[in-house]
Amino acid sequence: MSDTHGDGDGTWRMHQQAAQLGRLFSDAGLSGGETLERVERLGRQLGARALLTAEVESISADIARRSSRGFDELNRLQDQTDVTERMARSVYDVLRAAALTDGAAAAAITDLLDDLQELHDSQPA
Amino acid sequence: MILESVGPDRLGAVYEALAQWRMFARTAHVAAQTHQRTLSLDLLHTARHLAAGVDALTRLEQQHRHHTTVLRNLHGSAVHTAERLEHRAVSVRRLVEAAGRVADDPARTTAQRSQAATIRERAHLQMEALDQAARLASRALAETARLIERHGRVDRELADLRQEFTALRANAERGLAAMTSAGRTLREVAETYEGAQLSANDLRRELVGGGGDAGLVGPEADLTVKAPA
Repeated sequence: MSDTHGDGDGTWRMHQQAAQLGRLFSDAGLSGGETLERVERLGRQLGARALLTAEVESISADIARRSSRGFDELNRLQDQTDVTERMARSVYDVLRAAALTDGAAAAAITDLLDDLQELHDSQPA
Repeated sequence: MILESVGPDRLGAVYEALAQWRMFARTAHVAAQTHQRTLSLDLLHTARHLAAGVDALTRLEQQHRHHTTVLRNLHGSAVHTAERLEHRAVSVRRLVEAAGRVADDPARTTAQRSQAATIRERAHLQMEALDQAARLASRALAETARLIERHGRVDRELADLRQEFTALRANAERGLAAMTSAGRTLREVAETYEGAQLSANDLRRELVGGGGDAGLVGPEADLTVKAPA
């Protein structure tokens, strides 16, 4: 059921109906008794329910909107973290290459120092 | 009998209004139930989605913490490698100079000078390799510093996101509590609606004096199905 007041469950129309019934009962000289009382109570209860569900709708919409942004942010940070990981691996490879060069140079320098020492130790011409 | 004192016209209008009200009450109640179910499902779906998001965030935070250690180690390693290369470069430069002195020493035999020149060339090649390695280490050092700086930013962004997800979970719990309350109200609506139907029937019986009269529907007829004439 739809109405122009957007409460989603015809609460407003229920109130209208209850008011109309009240008037008719009164015009007819009838109290309406328990029936009218229940009609009014039903209207109030549906109104209370509509308020609660409107709150839930609002909360739900807020969560959906913010969590959508949150998930976008999460994906961005995940991408950034993945990029950081790849770059860290790349830096590690570079450092490893530098360390290997250093190791090779150290060995070569030791050999060359030995050769030079031997040359030093040999008699000049 | 009330009918006689009220008159059939007004009573007919009351009857019709009552029938319409019952129809609306039923429709409103069914619509409220459907609305409530849809909302509950939406909220549960959102809550589940959010829970999955929180799990993903927790995994990302763990990955991030691991990266903190990795980047710190990497930075330390880059600093250490750069220092070692610097010292090695000093050694090789001294070697080049020492070999050069022998190679240029006229007191040495040609063979000795040639051997020293070869040592100098080889040492020079090592020096070039070490220069290149030092450039790599320096680039790695700058890169790790940049990564650590960016990592710190992500750290703060992750903390903000954790705060946002915590707030959203609290909101979802608030929504679910409101739904529970709305469900209670809806059950009360159902009870009132049942009671209203019963008392409407009682009222109708009272109005028509239990017999059906003046073109009105009988006491057993369902007012929601057929409005009075």
